[in-house]
Amino acid sequence: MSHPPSDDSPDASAILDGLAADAERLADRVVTPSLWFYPVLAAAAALMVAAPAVEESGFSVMLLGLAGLAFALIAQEHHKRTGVTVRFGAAPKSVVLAAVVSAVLAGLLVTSFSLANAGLHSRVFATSMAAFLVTLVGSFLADRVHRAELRRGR
Amino acid sequence: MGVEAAFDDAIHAPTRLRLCAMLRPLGSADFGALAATLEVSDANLSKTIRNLAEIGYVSVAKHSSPERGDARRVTSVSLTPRGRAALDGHLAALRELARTAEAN
Repeated sequence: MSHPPSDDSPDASAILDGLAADAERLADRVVTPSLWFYPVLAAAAALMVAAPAVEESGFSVMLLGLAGLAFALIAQEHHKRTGVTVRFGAAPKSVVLAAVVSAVLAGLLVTSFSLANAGLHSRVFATSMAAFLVTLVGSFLADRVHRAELRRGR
Repeated sequence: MGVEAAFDDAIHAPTRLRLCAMLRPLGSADFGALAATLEVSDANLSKTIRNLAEIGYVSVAKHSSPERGDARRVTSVSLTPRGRAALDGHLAALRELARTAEAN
Protein backbone atom coordinates (compact mmCIF):
# COMPACT_ATOMS: atom_id res chain seq x y z
CA MET A 1 0.00 0.00 0.00
CA SER A 2 1.21 3.50 -0.55
CA HIS A 3 3.92 4.03 -3.05
CA PRO A 4 3.24 6.24 -6.06
CA PRO A 5 3.08 4.84 -9.58
CA SER A 6 6.20 4.36 -11.65
CA ASP A 7 7.00 6.64 -14.56
CA ASP A 8 5.57 4.24 -17.13
CA SER A 9 2.10 4.11 -15.56
CA PRO A 10 -0.66 6.32 -16.96
CA ASP A 11 -0.54 9.78 -15.43
CA ALA A 12 -2.94 10.62 -12.64
CA SER A 13 -4.89 13.16 -14.69
CA ALA A 14 -5.59 10.59 -17.41
CA ILE A 15 -6.77 8.08 -14.82
CA LEU A 16 -9.07 10.64 -13.19
CA ASP A 17 -10.43 11.65 -16.60
CA GLY A 18 -11.15 7.99 -17.34
CA LEU A 19 -13.05 7.64 -14.06
CA ALA A 20 -15.06 10.77 -14.87
CA ALA A 21 -16.01 9.21 -18.22
CA ASP A 22 -17.15 6.06 -16.37
CA ALA A 23 -19.26 8.21 -14.05
CA GLU A 24 -20.89 9.79 -17.12
CA ARG A 25 -21.70 6.34 -18.51
CA LEU A 26 -23.14 5.25 -15.18
CA ALA A 27 -25.35 8.36 -14.99
CA ASP A 28 -26.58 7.66 -18.53
CA ARG A 29 -27.35 4.07 -17.56
CA VAL A 30 -29.25 4.93 -14.39
CA VAL A 31 -31.81 6.77 -16.42
CA THR A 32 -35.41 6.39 -15.41
CA PRO A 33 -37.02 3.68 -17.58
CA SER A 34 -39.03 5.96 -19.84
CA LEU A 35 -41.67 8.67 -19.83
CA TRP A 36 -44.29 6.36 -18.31
CA PHE A 37 -42.34 6.14 -15.06
CA TYR A 38 -43.23 9.56 -13.61
CA PRO A 39 -46.98 9.52 -14.44
CA VAL A 40 -47.38 5.95 -13.12
CA LEU A 41 -45.54 6.83 -9.92
CA ALA A 42 -47.67 9.98 -9.58
CA ALA A 43 -50.87 7.98 -10.22
CA ALA A 44 -49.91 5.52 -7.46
CA ALA A 45 -49.37 8.44 -5.06
CA ALA A 46 -52.71 10.00 -6.10
CA LEU A 47 -54.46 6.66 -5.53
CA MET A 48 -52.92 6.35 -2.08
CA VAL A 49 -54.00 9.87 -1.07
CA ALA A 50 -57.49 9.38 -2.56
CA ALA A 51 -58.10 6.11 -0.65
CA PRO A 52 -59.60 7.76 2.49
CA ALA A 53 -62.38 9.27 0.34
CA VAL A 54 -63.86 5.84 -0.24
CA GLU A 55 -66.57 5.43 2.38
CA GLU A 56 -66.38 1.64 2.49
CA SER A 57 -63.36 1.06 4.76
CA GLY A 58 -62.48 -2.35 3.31
CA PHE A 59 -62.28 -0.88 -0.19
CA SER A 60 -60.24 2.04 1.14
CA VAL A 61 -57.68 -0.35 2.64
CA MET A 62 -57.63 -2.27 -0.63
CA LEU A 63 -56.80 0.95 -2.53
CA LEU A 64 -53.95 1.70 -0.10
CA GLY A 65 -52.68 -1.83 -0.65
CA LEU A 66 -52.89 -1.42 -4.42
CA ALA A 67 -50.93 1.84 -4.22
CA GLY A 68 -48.27 0.11 -2.09
CA LEU A 69 -48.09 -2.75 -4.58
CA ALA A 70 -47.70 -0.24 -7.43
CA PHE A 71 -44.79 1.47 -5.63
CA ALA A 72 -43.10 -1.92 -5.11
CA LEU A 73 -43.57 -2.95 -8.76
CA ILE A 74 -42.24 0.40 -10.00
CA ALA A 75 -39.14 0.06 -7.79
CA GLN A 76 -38.62 -3.53 -9.03
CA GLU A 77 -38.95 -2.44 -12.66
CA HIS A 78 -36.44 0.37 -12.09
CA HIS A 79 -33.92 -2.07 -10.63
CA LYS A 80 -34.54 -4.58 -13.41
CA ARG A 81 -33.81 -1.97 -16.08
CA THR A 82 -30.84 -0.25 -14.46
CA GLY A 83 -29.26 -3.18 -12.57
CA VAL A 84 -28.22 -0.94 -9.69
CA THR A 85 -29.48 0.15 -6.31
CA VAL A 86 -28.89 3.58 -4.82
CA ARG A 87 -26.76 4.20 -1.75
CA PHE A 88 -28.60 6.95 0.05
CA GLY A 89 -25.58 8.47 1.79
CA ALA A 90 -23.88 8.98 -1.56
CA ALA A 91 -26.54 11.17 -3.12
CA PRO A 92 -27.54 13.65 -0.41
CA LYS A 93 -29.39 16.22 -2.52
CA SER A 94 -31.61 13.75 -4.36
CA VAL A 95 -32.33 11.91 -1.10
CA VAL A 96 -33.35 15.17 0.59
CA LEU A 97 -35.61 15.95 -2.36
CA ALA A 98 -37.18 12.47 -2.20
CA ALA A 99 -37.64 12.85 1.58
CA VAL A 100 -39.39 16.21 1.07
CA VAL A 101 -41.75 14.67 -1.52
CA SER A 102 -42.46 11.75 0.87
CA ALA A 103 -43.16 14.17 3.75
CA VAL A 104 -45.55 16.21 1.58
CA LEU A 105 -47.33 13.02 0.52
CA ALA A 106 -47.66 11.93 4.16
CA GLY A 107 -49.11 15.37 4.96
CA LEU A 108 -51.57 15.09 2.08
CA LEU A 109 -52.61 11.60 3.20
CA VAL A 110 -53.27 12.89 6.74
CA THR A 111 -55.25 15.80 5.24
CA SER A 112 -57.30 13.32 3.19
CA PHE A 113 -58.13 11.28 6.29
CA SER A 114 -59.11 14.49 8.14
CA LEU A 115 -61.33 15.65 5.27
CA ALA A 116 -62.96 12.21 4.99
CA ASN A 117 -63.59 12.10 8.75
CA ALA A 118 -65.22 15.54 8.50
CA GLY A 119 -67.50 14.20 5.76
CA LEU A 120 -65.84 16.32 3.07
CA HIS A 121 -65.16 13.37 0.78
CA SER A 122 -65.34 15.36 -2.46
CA ARG A 123 -62.50 17.64 -1.32
CA VAL A 124 -60.15 14.67 -1.16
CA PHE A 125 -60.04 14.95 -4.94
CA ALA A 126 -57.98 18.16 -4.48
CA THR A 127 -55.44 16.49 -2.16
CA SER A 128 -55.24 13.55 -4.55
CA MET A 129 -54.50 15.88 -7.48
CA ALA A 130 -51.92 17.71 -5.35
CA ALA A 131 -50.26 14.34 -4.61
CA PHE A 132 -50.17 13.57 -8.34
CA LEU A 133 -48.51 16.89 -9.19
CA VAL A 134 -46.05 16.84 -6.26
CA THR A 135 -44.95 13.29 -7.14
CA LEU A 136 -44.77 13.98 -10.87
CA VAL A 137 -42.57 17.07 -10.46
CA GLY A 138 -40.70 15.83 -7.38
CA SER A 139 -39.71 12.45 -8.84
CA PHE A 140 -38.62 14.09 -12.09
CA LEU A 141 -36.44 16.60 -10.22
CA ALA A 142 -35.02 13.99 -7.81
CA ASP A 143 -34.07 11.82 -10.78
CA ARG A 144 -32.29 14.69 -12.52
CA VAL A 145 -30.44 15.68 -9.35
CA HIS A 146 -29.44 12.06 -8.73
CA ARG A 147 -27.98 11.70 -12.19
CA ALA A 148 -26.03 14.92 -11.72
CA GLU A 149 -24.66 13.52 -8.45
CA LEU A 150 -23.65 10.30 -10.21
CA ARG A 151 -21.84 12.33 -12.86
CA ARG A 152 -19.78 13.89 -10.10
CA GLY A 153 -18.97 10.37 -8.84
CA ARG A 154 -21.05 10.72 -5.66
CA MET B 1 -13.21 16.83 6.84
CA GLY B 2 -10.67 15.97 4.09
CA VAL B 3 -9.68 12.45 3.11
CA GLU B 4 -6.08 11.44 3.79
CA ALA B 5 -4.28 10.66 0.54
CA ALA B 6 -3.04 7.05 0.53
CA PHE B 7 -1.85 5.42 -2.67
CA ASP B 8 -3.12 1.84 -2.65
CA ASP B 9 -1.46 -0.71 -4.95
CA ALA B 10 -4.32 -3.14 -4.39
CA ILE B 11 -6.73 -0.79 -6.09
CA HIS B 12 -4.54 0.88 -8.71
CA ALA B 13 -4.95 -1.69 -11.51
CA PRO B 14 -7.33 -0.12 -14.06
CA THR B 15 -10.25 -2.54 -13.83
CA ARG B 16 -10.07 -2.69 -10.04
CA LEU B 17 -10.02 1.11 -9.75
CA ARG B 18 -12.80 1.59 -12.28
CA LEU B 19 -14.96 -1.05 -10.60
CA CYS B 20 -14.54 0.47 -7.14
CA ALA B 21 -15.20 3.99 -8.46
CA MET B 22 -18.30 2.74 -10.26
CA LEU B 23 -19.62 1.16 -7.06
CA ARG B 24 -18.79 4.21 -4.90
CA PRO B 25 -22.15 6.03 -5.34
CA LEU B 26 -24.24 2.84 -5.48
CA GLY B 27 -25.75 0.52 -2.93
CA SER B 28 -25.05 -2.41 -5.23
CA ALA B 29 -24.81 -3.23 -8.91
CA ASP B 30 -25.65 -6.39 -10.82
CA PHE B 31 -22.82 -8.16 -12.62
CA GLY B 32 -24.38 -7.56 -16.04
CA ALA B 33 -24.83 -3.84 -15.40
CA LEU B 34 -21.18 -3.53 -14.32
CA ALA B 35 -19.85 -5.46 -17.33
CA ALA B 36 -21.93 -3.35 -19.72
CA THR B 37 -21.06 0.00 -18.14
CA LEU B 38 -17.35 -0.71 -17.69
CA GLU B 39 -17.18 -2.40 -21.11
CA VAL B 40 -14.99 -5.25 -19.86
CA SER B 41 -15.27 -8.98 -20.49
CA ASP B 42 -17.20 -11.17 -18.08
CA ALA B 43 -14.03 -13.15 -17.34
CA ASN B 44 -12.01 -10.03 -16.53
CA LEU B 45 -14.76 -8.59 -14.35
CA SER B 46 -15.32 -11.89 -12.59
CA LYS B 47 -11.63 -12.20 -11.75
CA THR B 48 -11.43 -8.58 -10.58
CA ILE B 49 -14.46 -9.00 -8.31
CA ARG B 50 -13.03 -12.20 -6.85
CA ASN B 51 -9.68 -10.51 -6.14
CA LEU B 52 -11.29 -7.46 -4.54
CA ALA B 53 -13.59 -9.67 -2.47
CA GLU B 54 -10.57 -11.61 -1.19
CA ILE B 55 -9.03 -8.42 0.22
CA GLY B 56 -12.36 -7.26 1.63
CA TYR B 57 -12.91 -4.29 -0.68
CA VAL B 58 -16.16 -5.55 -2.22
CA SER B 59 -18.86 -7.93 -1.10
CA VAL B 60 -20.79 -10.24 -3.37
CA ALA B 61 -24.35 -11.44 -2.99
CA LYS B 62 -26.26 -13.87 -5.15
CA HIS B 63 -30.00 -13.72 -5.40
CA SER B 64 -32.69 -15.24 -7.52
CA SER B 65 -34.44 -13.03 -10.01
CA PRO B 66 -37.96 -13.38 -11.39
CA GLU B 67 -36.64 -12.00 -14.69
CA ARG B 68 -34.42 -15.03 -15.26
CA GLY B 69 -36.00 -18.01 -16.94
CA ASP B 70 -33.28 -20.41 -15.77
CA ALA B 71 -32.09 -21.43 -12.33
CA ARG B 72 -28.96 -19.23 -12.35
CA ARG B 73 -28.80 -16.51 -9.73
CA VAL B 74 -27.98 -12.86 -10.25
CA THR B 75 -24.70 -11.68 -8.74
CA SER B 76 -24.72 -8.24 -7.19
CA VAL B 77 -21.62 -6.46 -5.96
CA SER B 78 -21.19 -3.66 -3.45
CA LEU B 79 -18.26 -1.69 -2.09
CA THR B 80 -17.46 -2.41 1.56
CA PRO B 81 -16.62 0.42 4.02
CA ARG B 82 -12.99 -0.75 3.81
CA GLY B 83 -13.07 -0.57 0.03
CA ARG B 84 -14.68 2.86 0.15
CA ALA B 85 -11.98 4.17 2.50
CA ALA B 86 -9.25 2.72 0.27
CA LEU B 87 -10.82 4.22 -2.85
CA ASP B 88 -11.24 7.65 -1.27
CA GLY B 89 -7.61 7.66 -0.10
CA HIS B 90 -6.38 6.49 -3.48
CA LEU B 91 -8.40 9.10 -5.38
CA ALA B 92 -7.05 11.79 -3.05
CA ALA B 93 -3.51 10.55 -3.83
CA LEU B 94 -4.21 10.65 -7.57
CA ARG B 95 -5.56 14.20 -7.29
CA GLU B 96 -2.41 15.23 -5.43
CA LEU B 97 -0.25 13.65 -8.13
CA ALA B 98 -2.27 15.38 -10.85
CA ARG B 99 -1.92 18.75 -9.08
CA THR B 100 1.84 18.25 -8.65
CA ALA B 101 2.25 17.28 -12.32
CA GLU B 102 0.25 20.32 -13.39
CA ALA B 103 2.35 22.64 -11.23
CA ASN B 104 5.64 21.32 -12.70
